[in-house]
Amino acid sequence: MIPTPPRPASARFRRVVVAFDGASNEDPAAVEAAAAFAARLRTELFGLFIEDIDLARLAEHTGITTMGTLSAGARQMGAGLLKTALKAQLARTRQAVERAAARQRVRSTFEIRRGRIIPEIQSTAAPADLVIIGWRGRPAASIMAPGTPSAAVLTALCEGAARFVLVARRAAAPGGPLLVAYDGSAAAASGLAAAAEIGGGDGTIEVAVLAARIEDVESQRRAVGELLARTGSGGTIFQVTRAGLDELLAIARTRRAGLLVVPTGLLDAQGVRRIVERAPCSLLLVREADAGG
Amino acid sequence: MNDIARTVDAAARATADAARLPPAALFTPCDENALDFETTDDLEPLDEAIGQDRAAEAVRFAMGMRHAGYNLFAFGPAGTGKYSFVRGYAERIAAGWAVPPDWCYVHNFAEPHRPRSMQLPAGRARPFHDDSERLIDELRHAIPATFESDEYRNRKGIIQEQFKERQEEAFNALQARARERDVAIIRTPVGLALAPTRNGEVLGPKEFEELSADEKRQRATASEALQKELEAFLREVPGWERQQREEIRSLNRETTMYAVSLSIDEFKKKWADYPAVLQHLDAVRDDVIENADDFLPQEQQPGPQILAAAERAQAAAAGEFRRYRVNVLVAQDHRGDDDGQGAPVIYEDHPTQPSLVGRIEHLAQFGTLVTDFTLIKPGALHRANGGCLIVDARKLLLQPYAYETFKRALRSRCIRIESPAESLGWTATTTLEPEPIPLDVKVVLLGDPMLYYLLALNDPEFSELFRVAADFGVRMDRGNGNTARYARLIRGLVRSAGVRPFDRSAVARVVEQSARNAGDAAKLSTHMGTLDDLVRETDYWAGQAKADVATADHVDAAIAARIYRSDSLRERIQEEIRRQTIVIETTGARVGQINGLAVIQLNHFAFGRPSRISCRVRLGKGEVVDIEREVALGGPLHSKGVLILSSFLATRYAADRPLSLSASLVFEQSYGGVDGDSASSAELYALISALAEIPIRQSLAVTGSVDQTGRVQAIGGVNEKIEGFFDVCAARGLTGDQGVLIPAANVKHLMLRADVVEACAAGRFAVYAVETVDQGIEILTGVAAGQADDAGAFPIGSVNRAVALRLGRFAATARRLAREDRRGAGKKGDEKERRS
Repeated sequence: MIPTPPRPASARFRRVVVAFDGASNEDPAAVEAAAAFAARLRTELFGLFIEDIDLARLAEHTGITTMGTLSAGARQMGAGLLKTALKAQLARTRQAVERAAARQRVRSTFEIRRGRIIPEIQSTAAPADLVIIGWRGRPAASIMAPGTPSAAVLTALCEGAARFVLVARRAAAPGGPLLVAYDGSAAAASGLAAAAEIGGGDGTIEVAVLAARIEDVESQRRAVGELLARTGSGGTIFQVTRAGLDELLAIARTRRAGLLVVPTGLLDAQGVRRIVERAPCSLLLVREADAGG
Repeated sequence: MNDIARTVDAAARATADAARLPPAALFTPCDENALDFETTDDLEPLDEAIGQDRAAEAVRFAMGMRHAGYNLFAFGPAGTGKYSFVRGYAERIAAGWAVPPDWCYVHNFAEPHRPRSMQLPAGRARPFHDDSERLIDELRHAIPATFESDEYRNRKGIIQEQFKERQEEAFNALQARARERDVAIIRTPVGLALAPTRNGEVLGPKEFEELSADEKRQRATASEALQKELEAFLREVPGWERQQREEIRSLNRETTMYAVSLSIDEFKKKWADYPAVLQHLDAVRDDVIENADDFLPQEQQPGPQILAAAERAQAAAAGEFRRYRVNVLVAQDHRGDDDGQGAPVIYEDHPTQPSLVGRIEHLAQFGTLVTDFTLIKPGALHRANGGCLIVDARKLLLQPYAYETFKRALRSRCIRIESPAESLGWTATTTLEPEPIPLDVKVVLLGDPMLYYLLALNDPEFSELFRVAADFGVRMDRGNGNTARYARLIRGLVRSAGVRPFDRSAVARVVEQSARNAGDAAKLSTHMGTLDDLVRETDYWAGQAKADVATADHVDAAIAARIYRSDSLRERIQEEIRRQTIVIETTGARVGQINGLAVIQLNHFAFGRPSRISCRVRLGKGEVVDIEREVALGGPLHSKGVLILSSFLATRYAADRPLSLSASLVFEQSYGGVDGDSASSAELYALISALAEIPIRQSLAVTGSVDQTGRVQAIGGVNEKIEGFFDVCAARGLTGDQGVLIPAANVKHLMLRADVVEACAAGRFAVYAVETVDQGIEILTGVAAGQADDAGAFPIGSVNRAVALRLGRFAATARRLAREDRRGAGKKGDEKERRS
């Protein structure tokens, strides 16, 4: 039996960054997805635990009153109890990252920063990082669904340094093709290339060409074909007319997609929120590269 | 004296000659020339059992009586063709009955543990089942498609958006108010918390301490107020969620109704003539509307593997939409009104309780046993409902609880499915109580006569439920054209077994063997099992001989082979007799010793076994000791025979004086039990010989019972007994003196083996038919028995006189001894008196 040669390390992705805030429990789906992606891309898994500065200050107080979101009842917490909870949260998260990395046999680093979530992620994540955040809530206000990043966080991330933000949904069905929304933009091309890399040549890639004008369809199909050929991947290309966000989501649902790759240029702030809330699968949001980036 | 003796011997010889049976009396052949066919192929087959007119009438009556309780118990020995006859007859009758309805079980939406039974006209259950499956399939696609529609999604999105906006607006307003009052609402791992701020930054304890007292108080007051507001907000959220859920549910209901109505309405139109179906469909529609989520793709949730598996199993079960399915319990293959299909006739070979009344199966799911109406399985009563059910009574009685449950169903006239554990309260597992199904069935139990009479005697309900008995006999008359019918019966068996035709010689031989099996030259056996075996085995031997047609030789070969396969015990006994390990004398004469004959029955094979019976007499008090009885080897019938012969002895020879005799009778070298009275005549002859001191010819053997007057009576197994002694004699060489005494009443039963008949015809063996003990003793001793004159005295030189004299001597001796005893007792009394 001829051994399969090891895949080369990803040229596109430097590392996979999975970020946690101190207020939410670690999201197993996000952690597992991050480790799996790191293994597939042969990159490092970087766990970033951000101790929210406000939360840290609050924890210093003695006699904090908290309010259960489910019980709607106030309860007095003893001195240091919140601090202990935060420490425990940190320990669990670190352990989850390390275990996932060990399972996937990837190198991992775990870093703790104190600050505010968005700036810390933005300052840490380089354009060549794949940032993974979890989404396990239902479409509701983030305050009611711990662990669900608010739309503001997502928007900020998509507009910041990170070019690739993957929202790992735990409700998503495993497997399924990688569905790439292609609008002819550079971000779409990057998304397609990233999908090819994530698929590793053996994943099924389906490309939905979302040409705004009918005359652009053929050129975009050609471009997609060339891109796929360049990456050595096969794929199915189909054209979607009058494509809006809802149509894209309907396609993902119909084709039972495992990952939906969307250039952020297609989405405004509301669009980000809607697609994150409604996507039937995990989501890779791809931002256009900065000039020279 | 010599003249007298010669006269007496001549009389004895005359008796022997008169009793000696001619060869024609030993075997009644079937004249093949009287059969008007060449082979059985020329005959019309007779497929039913013959000679069962009485049973046939009973079956006809029972099948014709449609009232409750007129079920049938067909009894007779195994192999008499009860099953074939009853089944054939029942099928012919039931073919004229109406095709019974179909039955199915459907879910009871109001009481899920009580599935509803549904009756449909014959042949309609399967279409109903298929239409239900189609409906499920349609709904499985139509409902998700409707829920995928833009309209539904938009409407649902609006509801969710409204809820979210409401929630966010309220929360944002709360946050804004908090900000205005320098307080932040912060999410922590253990809930929401309020923190004092300055310029939007949360204050640590040190910074907080640096605030002025007013500032501190202001923030504390604000926190307190905001906490209440936050609490009120959080309390309101579940209500909004509930409202949202209600709105979505209402939307779902409306959407499902749209998706379901078309399919259900179409279904209902097709089944408009069946109110039960329509009622069920309404319930299905309501349930689908209430549970539309079941039809929508389920989102997979992460979690421990076992839970995921459980959820998958549940989802799979739900995915089958079992509660909308139809469990067809009984479906008649109805091909139309005039197809003559009739009602079913079912034979239940394994009548356990569940196989009779049905059962409810369970599935194991993660350590729990679960069930539903689709797991209800029919029993034989369901399948036979409206028709006829045939059950073997013995098998039924051997199965725990089967008989009681069976009777309960017949009595209540409905089939109620319950497990034995459930009916006895042994299980706490939640199970189903399916709606009982009305029962209208004709039941036929098959069994042996003893079973029938035991049940009739001991079970009061039995007679109520089985009012008709069909008695299957084992014999029929050989005459009255029955031989021809028998030939047609053989033709039927040849055809059903698919074997070579029988020529008329073979048929004649089979008829002869049948008479032999019947144990009567004038009868034929109606044991279909034996006859069928003989036909098949004859075909085997015909095949071995490469014959196209079975002949008498093949029948003989089959009979001989069958005997050979079974007679190893007989061979061993005969061998031990030849080697004189078992002492049976066949020459000479002995006082007080005679050859008796017994029959040993081994399954279907019987053979005769000679036994040496000896008798010794002495002075005594009138008792005849049956040694077999003394050692508990004699059965009651044997003891009865001995007592009868004792009575005969006393009344004939000592009617007016005490019988001062003590005799002992024994079956020599008998180590097993002895029963039956067929040896009583032999025992009596041995006793007479011992008393008269006249020897008995050992070349003869005897069978027959006696009554108190000395009449010899019929016994069973006469052919086997004769052949048993014949084989012993033949092995030692036939002398012409040898023979067997049988009761005259048994002559009509003689169907002896050909070699025995030939030997008798050649004068090398003899069979004597005797009517009285006197005839027998004359043949055995060669001395006349002697008839008593008017004074009661027997002729000089006769056996009876010798017996009477011996008994007289015993009596005289007894009297003398009694006198001496009395005298001795008197002397002792005088001495005693003197001493005192």
